[in-house]
Amino acid sequence: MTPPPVYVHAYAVKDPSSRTALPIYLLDDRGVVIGADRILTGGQRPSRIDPDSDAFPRYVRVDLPNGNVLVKPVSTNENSPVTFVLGYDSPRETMSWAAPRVDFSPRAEVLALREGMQSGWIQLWQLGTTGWRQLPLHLHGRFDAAPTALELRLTDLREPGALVINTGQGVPQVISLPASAKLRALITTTEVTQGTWDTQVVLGGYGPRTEGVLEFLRKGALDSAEALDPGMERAMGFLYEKQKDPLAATAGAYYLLRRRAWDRLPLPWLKNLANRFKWIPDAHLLLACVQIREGMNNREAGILAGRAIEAAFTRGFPLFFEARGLLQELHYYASRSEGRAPNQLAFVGRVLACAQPAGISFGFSGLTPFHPTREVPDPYLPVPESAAAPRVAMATYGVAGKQVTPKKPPAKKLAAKAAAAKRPAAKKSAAKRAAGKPDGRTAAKRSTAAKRGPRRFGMTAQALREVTPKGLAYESTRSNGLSSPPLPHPPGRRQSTAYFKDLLVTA
Amino acid sequence: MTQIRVTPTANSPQTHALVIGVGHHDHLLGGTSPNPDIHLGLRVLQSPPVSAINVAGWLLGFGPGPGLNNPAAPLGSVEVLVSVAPGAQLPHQGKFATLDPAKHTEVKQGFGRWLQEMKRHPRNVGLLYFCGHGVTGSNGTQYVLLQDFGSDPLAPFTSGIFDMNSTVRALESAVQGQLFVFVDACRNNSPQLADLIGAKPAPLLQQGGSTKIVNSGLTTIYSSRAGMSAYGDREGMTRFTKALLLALEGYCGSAVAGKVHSVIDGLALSQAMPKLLRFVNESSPGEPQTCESTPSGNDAPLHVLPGLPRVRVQIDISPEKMRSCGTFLMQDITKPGAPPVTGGGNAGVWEADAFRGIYRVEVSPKKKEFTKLLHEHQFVDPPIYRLPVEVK
Repeated sequence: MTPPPVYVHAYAVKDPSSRTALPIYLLDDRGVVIGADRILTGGQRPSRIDPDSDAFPRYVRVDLPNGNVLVKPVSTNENSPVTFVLGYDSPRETMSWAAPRVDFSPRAEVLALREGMQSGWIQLWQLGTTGWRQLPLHLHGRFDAAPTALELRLTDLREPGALVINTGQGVPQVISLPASAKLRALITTTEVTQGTWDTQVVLGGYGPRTEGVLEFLRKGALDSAEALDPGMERAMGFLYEKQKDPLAATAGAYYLLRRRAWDRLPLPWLKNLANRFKWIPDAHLLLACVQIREGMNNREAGILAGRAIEAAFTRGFPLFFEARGLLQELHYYASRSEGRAPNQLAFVGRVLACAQPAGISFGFSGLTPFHPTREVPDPYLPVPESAAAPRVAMATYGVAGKQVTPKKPPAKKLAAKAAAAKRPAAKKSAAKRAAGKPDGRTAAKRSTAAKRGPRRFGMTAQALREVTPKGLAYESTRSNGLSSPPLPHPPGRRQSTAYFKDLLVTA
Repeated sequence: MTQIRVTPTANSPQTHALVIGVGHHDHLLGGTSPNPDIHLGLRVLQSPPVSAINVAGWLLGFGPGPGLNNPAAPLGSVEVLVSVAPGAQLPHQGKFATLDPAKHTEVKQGFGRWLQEMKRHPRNVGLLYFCGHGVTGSNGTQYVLLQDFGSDPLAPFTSGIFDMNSTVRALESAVQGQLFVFVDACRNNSPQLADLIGAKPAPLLQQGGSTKIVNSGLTTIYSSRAGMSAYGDREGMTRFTKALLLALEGYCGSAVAGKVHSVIDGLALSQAMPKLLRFVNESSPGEPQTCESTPSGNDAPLHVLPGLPRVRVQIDISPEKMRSCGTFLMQDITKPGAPPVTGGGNAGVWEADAFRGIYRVEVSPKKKEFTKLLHEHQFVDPPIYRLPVEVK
């Protein structure tokens, strides 16, 4: 006689419209799995589990991506479904948002009171045809301050971008942002061990399907991912339906690659993903990795890897942290191949060396998107050359044009400049500039610029000063060339940089 | 040669382990001939040899447990290479006939023997454990240091050191069977070393002619996150190895349908290790340490427990002043006759050990200091079950 099925319902109270897939298991009294299925939160119809045995008592277990497990007994009444009410721990449509809150017992007051948060800030960068540039970021009215964390609604970008977040814990973090996606950033303080606190940044909003798969991969919970998708049909379906949800297709491909399901990763599908969705850098890495893992000689692998890295990094940074392993592998092959641009590989190598996840998102520690570093800027050290002149960025992103390396004028020239500034003509010129009118010098510059044509990249040292928040050592030391900056509270503010302390006060 | 042959070579699957622990370094600070041009500020260590010997001892059953138990792939051989300061005493050391030092030549030879064993059968299970100094180069690659690091005057920064990431990558193209790789070493960035080792230290195994992956399953667990440090006790084991041995001794595992036993595989280890390391962090001074695991492919078991896995129960009562005024009782509701798990009444977090199961948890006052609380259907799953309880 076939054991009767068990029906399971799940409601997400905070967001009833959500459709997050969760693995459900039917357990016997030893905790042995005797049936498994998946359930969609907010689904109208209950999920049905057909048990392998008629053992009783039985329990239904739901695994949440945040690591929590919920268990309920199965009633002896066969027609009575097991109902889970989710969402008290998971306030958003994807459970990943709750992960740091639930696992580490956060305290909101600690977040607000952390010294780092008082000098913390956030910047938004976009990669255009002229290279990386900073965009204005206004967060007032675009954040929620729950008792446990600060959640920011980010502007959706037309081009790939990056967030640079400084939570006052060492080096800021650069986090990859895709184009045209409405993402949110959650900043929360979590207790790592008793009395030790850590501020974490998690990005979300990629969609329940993407986050469901990648959250389980991030936690190494391949068994949960498998319960959601026995036979990997669903992940293959995501990849097939890439037009519908290209981010989910990318997540599906990552899952299949991790499972080494080569037969479920058709190369034409991956090629289409890479060609049709050029704004997903991960697609190029996935395609190359699958090709290499299917076998070729080292020389071919090197060439392919180099091309894939170039294609991916021309379009920003990989979106998901799962890319790090792939990038390491490709970097290994590419660096053994002759003819690769050494600057590009050096930059990618530095990104890899500084890699730091933000939830499922790809990120690295760095001062700007083109300056990955793990070293805390020291206000009393000279400016790193790479920060002053983003050569790597220019070379890496393949932007054509002449490279500009700002040179510090000799002391004699500086003295002459200072003397000239005292002359009446110079004063007049300065007054014109202050009034926003072009003086003779500016007009001449503009004329030269017009002859030269449009600039192909804009990140000169001056531009870098404009986009860098006050308070960072190298920016301030450059601004006057000699003196040390007054840290940690800078005298001036940049409109394009949002400071957490303003939000925390408002909150 | 310190290959310990446990069972004779056979045409059936076996488990083969390679255990390397490097504490003594000839040319680092505190070594026999420290070289200021080479040591980079790194000192000799005491915990890696102790950790490696404990891992080897656990595998062979020299510790409190019966040792590695994998009926599908019984323990075939254990290769142990340990560098220890002259005269140092290690646990179980007397039980090993000889111990080769973890110098580059010996490690390469030991790795070669282990690889040869691994290639004998497509369903062999391999364990590679390294404990010692590690640094991350300019591209995120982890290099690990051996006893004779810096011994070649012509190539000081490429001798006695190897590229761990590329070694594992090459293994994926060379070994079909399931692999478990545990790397207990720092992953700090060393710009100085990265610049110095521009020549890039070689892996123990070079990639073959083809890049094709033949390996069926690989679980790699690094003891620290990229760019971070790993820690150890001066006189004892490293934190990561303590957590690993806790996992292997039974605080980890998943049940098998229709069977009494539980299995410890890559997935179970990947999920248990971060929690166990956090548990070890709580009793260790200094910075917390977080590990990073990557299971991939299929997942053959490494170790089989005869029964259910154990769970460390932690009940965190707040306010703290009520901790000494109450107790707890946990009853496995699936086994009504089983003795309950009890505890409490002390300052600090209440702790106890339980077997995996579905429990009813009661928190009761000794007198009437607070209202009794009942938590139904608590799924107590290894390795740690933590229940925060607020009493009024």
